[in-house]
Amino acid sequence: MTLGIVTRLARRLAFLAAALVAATTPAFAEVSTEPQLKAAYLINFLKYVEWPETGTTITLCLFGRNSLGPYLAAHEGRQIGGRELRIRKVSSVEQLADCQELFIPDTEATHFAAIMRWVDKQPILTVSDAAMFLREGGTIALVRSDGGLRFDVNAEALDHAGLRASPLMIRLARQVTGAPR
Amino acid sequence: MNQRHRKHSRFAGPLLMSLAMLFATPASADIDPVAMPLDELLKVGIVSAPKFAENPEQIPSIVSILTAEDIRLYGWRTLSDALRTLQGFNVTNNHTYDYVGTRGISKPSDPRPRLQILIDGISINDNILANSPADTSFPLDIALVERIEVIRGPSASIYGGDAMFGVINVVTRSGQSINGAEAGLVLGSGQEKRLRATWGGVVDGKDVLVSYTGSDANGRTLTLHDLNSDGSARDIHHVGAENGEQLFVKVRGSDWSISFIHARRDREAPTGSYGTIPDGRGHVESDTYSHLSATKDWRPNATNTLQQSFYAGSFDYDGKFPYDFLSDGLVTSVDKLRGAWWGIENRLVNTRWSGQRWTFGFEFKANARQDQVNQDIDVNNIGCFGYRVGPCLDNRQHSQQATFMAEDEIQIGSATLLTLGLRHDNLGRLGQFSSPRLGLVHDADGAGLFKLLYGTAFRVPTVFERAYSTPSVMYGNPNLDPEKMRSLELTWEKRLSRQSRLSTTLYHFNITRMIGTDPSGLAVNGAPTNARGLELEYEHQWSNGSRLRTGYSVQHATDDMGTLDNSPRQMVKLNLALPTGITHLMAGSEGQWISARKAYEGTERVAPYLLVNLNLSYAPSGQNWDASLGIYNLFNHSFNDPVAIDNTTALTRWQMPQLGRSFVLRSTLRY
Repeated sequence: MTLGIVTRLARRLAFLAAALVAATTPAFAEVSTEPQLKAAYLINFLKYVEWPETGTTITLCLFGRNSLGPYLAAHEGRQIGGRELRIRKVSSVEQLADCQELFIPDTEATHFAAIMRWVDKQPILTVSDAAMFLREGGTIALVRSDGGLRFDVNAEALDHAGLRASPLMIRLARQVTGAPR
Repeated sequence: MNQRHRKHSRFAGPLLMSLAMLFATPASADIDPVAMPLDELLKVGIVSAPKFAENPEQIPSIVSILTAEDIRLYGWRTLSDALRTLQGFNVTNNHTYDYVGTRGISKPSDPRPRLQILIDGISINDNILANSPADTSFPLDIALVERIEVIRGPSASIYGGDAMFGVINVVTRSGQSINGAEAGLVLGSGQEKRLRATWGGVVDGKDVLVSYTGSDANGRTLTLHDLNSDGSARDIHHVGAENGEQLFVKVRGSDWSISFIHARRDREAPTGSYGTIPDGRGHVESDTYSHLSATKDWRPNATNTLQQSFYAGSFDYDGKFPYDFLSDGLVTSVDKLRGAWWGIENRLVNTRWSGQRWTFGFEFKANARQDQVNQDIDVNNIGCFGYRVGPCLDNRQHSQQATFMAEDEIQIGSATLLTLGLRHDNLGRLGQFSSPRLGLVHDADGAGLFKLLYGTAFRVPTVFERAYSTPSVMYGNPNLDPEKMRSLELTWEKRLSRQSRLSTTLYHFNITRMIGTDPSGLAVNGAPTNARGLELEYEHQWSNGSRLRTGYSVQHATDDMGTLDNSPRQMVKLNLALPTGITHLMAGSEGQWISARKAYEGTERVAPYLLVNLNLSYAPSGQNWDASLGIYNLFNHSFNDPVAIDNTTALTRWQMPQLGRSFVLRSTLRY
């Protein structure tokens, strides 16, 4: 007897789902989990930023607590703009020499000031998922907004690091702070 | 019987429903962060992730992750097919249920694997047997599994009692990964038929999945030697005959998710277990699970994340055991177990202090119903024949539990992570338990990853172990004490190249008062049990799609009587998938060698066995279908599994012959 109920329930739920599809226009064409999407941004930024020196590799460094590692590892070795992507964990100044991009998770917020001193004037794109990161002199902050993920850019900090972001990237940013465009 | 015929027609409804949904708009495939333009990333919505989705390298014990690709390549039919390929796991079968044992602790037919089984992070263990089925009574169709995360070692400090040997988290596929309608058809030996209709996709930024599976099997013929008093062979039919259904619905938003599971399996047990009439169709054991859960994430500020879950579940077990009593004629002994529970779970993650990640948890669970009834039924009467007018057992209970846990993960330098955890469980009359845990992970770069875990765990006797007693079956023992465990394990993992990984775990644990049965069949606390062992695993993946995983375990689990029953000393596992040379056709083969095991209270020996399975899978690229053929027990090797000591109508049983070669043909069609 419960079988009948379940079958009916299944049918009702299926029609409900179908009705939802028909009745609503999708706000997001695709969905992802938050760490996966953050990892995707970190890699994607590499396509829109120009570094003063170009080598054969491009290195994305992760500072401290490594929560995005598993989502990035699969892309290691891929070509981005003709350069091979490398992923590195870092914890000290000496290790920063090779980094083109540095991700500092919000859990390391107390280290922001110290890290910004290390990377001062070096051509390193610094990214964090803490909203206050730009006030500390960071270049990009990933922020949650309306069920998705957006980013803020500190143009002054970019300039200070000797990096050039593409106009498209600046235009897509939620907020641009610092120097005039 | 006529009911069985009626059941087939139920396949039609869901199939039509999936056809009706063909108009569903397809979204694009998985995110490729390299190829995708930045403006497309802005259009991606976030859906909440199940709570395990963290870095396995930060967990202080060995973690195995089995993926949907493994399931497809090796043709795993059930969760237990997947688990038995892992080092340290020993799965046995008595043709009614599968039993999962780990690290030498796998008492024959013990329904309690001392593992927590979770679906998307929510425990599904029932509140009467504390069982977590891994066979076809597992409430989720294995075709809906994205990955299986197996975290070993005592995790009671996070997941409570029953997480003694670890946690198995089954993560379901996203609706987006299905992206349309999907129909799955499985045909197998013993007239097994399994039909699945699934719809998944993104609806208004929400990830939606709806799936229904109906299954039916007529069973196989098996020869047993313990049904005639002279030990001669007797063929029994319909071994493995079953009928079942599984419904799964899931909706995930950016910071919330809701899921509903309902599954039923009716399994025939013609083997004459518990002394029922052998080779008949009257002995049926049914399991029905229903589970609803809702989870919401809150972010009060940048350093705090609160996850709240509400869950409600029910478990119904119905056993029909037909007996032929010469004096009374045909009598069916009927078991009815009814469990119902609900609870709320709160988990706060705080990252306010630099380099530290605090997790605080509070859980309240109400076991609203923990009822066990047994009665005898014949054509005229209901009662407890020969004993009393009323039922043989009518035990109705309910209970509550409250749990508080705290854990701090402390980053020391960039290479070391220290985990300190403490959990306190208040189980009312059953007592209060504190379970501390200490873990250390050190990343020595070139030298590999070192993990150390010291943990404690407990397990309270279930209501089944405490109260299931009838005038003729004296099993339940209200005076049972909880089991306690202490364990220390050391793991070394080394990535040899980008594609290969080697891991080794050395462990030692002891369990005091482990619950078992005495010679009369009464549940009792046993003597202290000690175990130690070594597990080795090597994994390699090649760029052409080939993959290899091989493991060796040596384990030694003893109590005052020596090595435990069904505790193999050594196990070798091998999984290898290779391209066949024919485009898109892959061959997945697996081998499991299990050394001899003791049975019948240590007095009998069950011979070692080697089980080899082969699965050929064909997945043409760009096509909307795939198919596979699995051959299980390829060499038709005959072997036995130890089972609980049981009296058939003729003899005492302590082992069960396993099935010979079987075939399963699978196909999936996507719209």
